[in-house]
Amino acid sequence: MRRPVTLLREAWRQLCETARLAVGVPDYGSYLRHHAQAHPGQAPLSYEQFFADRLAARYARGRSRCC
Amino acid sequence: MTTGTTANWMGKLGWLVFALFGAACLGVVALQRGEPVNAIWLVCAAVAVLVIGYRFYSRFIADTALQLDPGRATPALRRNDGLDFVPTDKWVLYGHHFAAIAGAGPLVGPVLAAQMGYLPGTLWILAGVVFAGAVQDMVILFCSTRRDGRSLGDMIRAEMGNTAGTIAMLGILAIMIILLAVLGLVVVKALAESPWGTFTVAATIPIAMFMGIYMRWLRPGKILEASLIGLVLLFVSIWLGGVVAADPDWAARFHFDGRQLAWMMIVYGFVASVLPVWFLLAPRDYLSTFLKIGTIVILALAIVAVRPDLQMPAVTRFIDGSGPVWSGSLFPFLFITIACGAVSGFHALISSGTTPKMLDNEKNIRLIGYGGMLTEAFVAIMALVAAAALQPGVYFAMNSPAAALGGTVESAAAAISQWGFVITPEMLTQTAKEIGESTILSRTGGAPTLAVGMAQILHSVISGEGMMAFWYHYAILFEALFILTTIDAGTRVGRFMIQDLLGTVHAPLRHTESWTGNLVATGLCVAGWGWFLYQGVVDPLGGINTLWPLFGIANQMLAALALIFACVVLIKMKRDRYVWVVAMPTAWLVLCTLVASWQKLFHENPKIGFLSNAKRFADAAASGQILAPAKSIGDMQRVAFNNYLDAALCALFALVVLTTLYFGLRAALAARRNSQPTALETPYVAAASVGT
Repeated sequence: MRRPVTLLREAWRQLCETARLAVGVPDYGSYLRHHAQAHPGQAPLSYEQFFADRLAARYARGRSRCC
Repeated sequence: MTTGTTANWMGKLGWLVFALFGAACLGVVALQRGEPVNAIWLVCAAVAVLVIGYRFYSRFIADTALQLDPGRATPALRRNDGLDFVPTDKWVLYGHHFAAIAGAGPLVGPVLAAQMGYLPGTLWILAGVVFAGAVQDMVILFCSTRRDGRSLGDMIRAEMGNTAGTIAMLGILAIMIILLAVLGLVVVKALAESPWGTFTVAATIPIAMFMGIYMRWLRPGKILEASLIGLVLLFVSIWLGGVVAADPDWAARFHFDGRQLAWMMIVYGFVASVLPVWFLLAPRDYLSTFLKIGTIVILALAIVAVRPDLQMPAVTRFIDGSGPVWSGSLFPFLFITIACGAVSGFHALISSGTTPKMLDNEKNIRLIGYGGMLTEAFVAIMALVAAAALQPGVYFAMNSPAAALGGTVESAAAAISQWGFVITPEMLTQTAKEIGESTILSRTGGAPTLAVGMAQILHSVISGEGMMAFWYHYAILFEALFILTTIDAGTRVGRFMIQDLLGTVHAPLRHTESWTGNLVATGLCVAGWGWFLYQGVVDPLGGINTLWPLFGIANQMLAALALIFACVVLIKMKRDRYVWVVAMPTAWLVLCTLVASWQKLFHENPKIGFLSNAKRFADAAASGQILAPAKSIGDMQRVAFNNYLDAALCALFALVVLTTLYFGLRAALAARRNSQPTALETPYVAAASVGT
């Protein structure tokens, strides 16, 4: 049984991740893990660059929004 | 008996009890007459239907019809790049998908449909979502996931041929234009003659710009901080709007009529969609997304806490098609009016957009595709509750065109009482005063009605002096905010589509970096929706009457397209036995869109048929007569021309459905002649063989 504090922290982390992805910014940690594994030796984007990149991608070709 | 089978039997018994509970709630909602039904019955009935639909029907679709394969690697696993293709936790992705599909549609449609009573709308939302809307979203998500997350247009081109793909693209562009016009009209109608509303909505522009600067230069990438600051500023602007409205000098500066607002919207749409995205579009998108989700949650909690009575009758006399809010009989127009919430073609674009690129496992298609749409249907039910909880007299005062009500509260009360809904002029004045507006008459478009409904419900939870007006303007702001976001994001999408089309004529126009291409295409897109918006604003029947059915037909047409494609894919996969799962909603949508288009074109009642209305104005103009609201022969000719244009658009929608049906049948017959499966899925890769 995990401690309530750990559970709360986990829930908050998940909530933040959901909120970020709801506006098109995926999890930066996953990106770093993927980058370290797939492109070892290359420097990953900083969070600021990552954010700017995702923002541009979200609206790049225009985004379909619902009615 | 072993413990396993006991648990199994207990489970079955539990579902049986739950089903009986749902049936009992639905029975109360459907059969009680005479006294008002409490909204909680409707909410419970809806929850029961949605949960049972999810548990049984979506499981059948997932396991038997589509045969989702958890062992098959999804695009996110195969092509993981940490950016576009990212395996994502199912609940996180559910949030992303829901935020993308939820918009103004499920809030406005059910409010407009309430003129027939709450029962027809409720039944259509529930049956529609379980058997059509959620099925469409789920199957398209499945198809796109099996095709590397490709878009609907691309998939139609690949499976049904180039011509079908181009026709689908044209259909998507047309729906975009009409969607932007009708949403713009909803905002114009909500802000016309309302300094408070206009001030708060205008204030969102500098607020968003500040957030944009904050997230780019001051604290790069800090979404939470910027959004919290933005939210606080929004609340300040609602309060400040009240101060502005109370001051005669300031109120005059923010007091505009529909025509002025329409022009502002057109200029705004153009400027906003050529500005850099980080400056205005993205920050307001963030704000509106969070506000939307938050408000939906608050509304759900408030409805459960307040449990309002539904004042609107279950079924009104207007099912015969003579209603003042929109014209046309229950079939087919109810099924057109409530598009989003029951079945929305637009979702096919989202389900073949970013979501399929982030699925970590095929089996989650059920939760995200089917479950996401069920939640949207629940939002639609809440909008219906908010509208039906209003006094019917107030509802009809807000939603009927000025032509039906006359200009004063006395004439309006008299007209509405004659329809059988008792209301006094004092009650109309009092309601307007409570929400801090000068009048509630003919505030059509659905948004103000929903705002009054929401304000009354939220006011029961947090009450106090002036709180009613605060909640009303909060609700207006919440709707206007994401509609404006849709308008500039949508204008951008339209611009890229037009650039693609122009590129086939003159190649350099296709380059998205080209300023000429950008300005020309944006100008064309804005001119397209601006035309229909302006026409809606000056329309004698209030505009919504004309534009909402056109939008509904367009949206259901797109759903028909997506479902025809889904049928073709299932047949190509040699799943003919289960094709009825998608063929049933396809048939229904094709029927609804074609009958509705036919009636909008050729109905002899000028309130319904575009051509007979055009003829009425053209004939009168020819004999020198002038019909209201036209003031000159020129106006008369313009009304006639606009009706011909609407008719042409309607005919185009019907034509798109018919040609797609033809290409669908052709592709299906070809697939049946072949003894092998012919669907063009990406080759099978085992999930176990791909590292994450």
